[in-house]
Amino acid sequence: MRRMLAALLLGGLVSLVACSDDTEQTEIVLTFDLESIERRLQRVGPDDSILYGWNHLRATADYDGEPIAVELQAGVEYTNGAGPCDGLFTLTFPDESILALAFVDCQSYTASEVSGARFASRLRIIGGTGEFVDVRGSGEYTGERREEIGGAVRSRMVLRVTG
Amino acid sequence: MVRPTRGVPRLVRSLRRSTLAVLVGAGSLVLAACDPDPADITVITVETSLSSTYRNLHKVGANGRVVYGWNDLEGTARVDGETIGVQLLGNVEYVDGGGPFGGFVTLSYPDGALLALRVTEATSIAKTDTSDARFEGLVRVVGGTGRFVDASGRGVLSGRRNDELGGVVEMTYVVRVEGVR
Repeated sequence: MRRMLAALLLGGLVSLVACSDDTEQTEIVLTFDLESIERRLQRVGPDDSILYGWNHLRATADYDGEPIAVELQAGVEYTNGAGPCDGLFTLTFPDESILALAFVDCQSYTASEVSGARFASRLRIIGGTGEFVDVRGSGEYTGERREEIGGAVRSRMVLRVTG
Repeated sequence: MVRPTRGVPRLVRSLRRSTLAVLVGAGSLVLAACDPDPADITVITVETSLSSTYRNLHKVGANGRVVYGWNDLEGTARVDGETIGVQLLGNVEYVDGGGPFGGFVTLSYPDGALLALRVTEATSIAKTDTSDARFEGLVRVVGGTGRFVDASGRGVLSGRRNDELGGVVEMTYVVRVEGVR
């Protein structure tokens, strides 16, 4: 009986060790300044109060001393400067691995600064390539733009990934 | 033997006919008060063939089974005797060829007026290579300019694409628009 218990315990331990790599969570914190490189925006509504369309932004972030290319394909529908936003993040690591993320419940809020805005969203992992091909996880994004849309967005992203 | 009864029919049975009549009558009055005058509703039907003019798409996941990003499509349509421009700024997130998509539709009229729609709750069902796609979804009026500056409303979209993502899309939008000047 003791031998059987020991074998079961040993088997469980081996299983845990075998699974530990897959369940180990890595936190990735990135800060970067997004610059708008292309916009397809329209103003409509009374007094042009509604702004909608695309804003394509790029940045370079530093992660453990390595540069990461950050691309944000953002869609906006703002009334009087604020409102819902959606977006697709593509993070390209030095080894060409890609980690793709999507905004979840993104909102833009008018900031105290004239023309500025703040952004907050949860992040969902869409998928990846290379070392991120089987990755899972979630995160949060916050951003601040001191100028009108099209200006630089100071950004912070916190990701918790497994796999 | 006691037969199981569902809650709603049991509740309905417990109400007298006169009570039901009063409730139905009151409901009709409320609905009539909330519904816009049919004369104030403009139904716009747009049948168009959209060609992709710009794409920024990425593939990720095992065997590149997830494709996401932007697809900008443009076309024209005849609406009530006018030729209008149609632009779809589409964003997709497809797994194994299909899945949800969204975006903005801009209808541009010859007099310069714009009617902007947002695509919501739209789905593509397609082969794993994204070909032979069928689209269904809803649209909501974002706003407009000119005669559409006070527009609001909702509608539906349906369409198809024979080729892979990036190919020509045959799309129909039917929108009930209120507030057209």
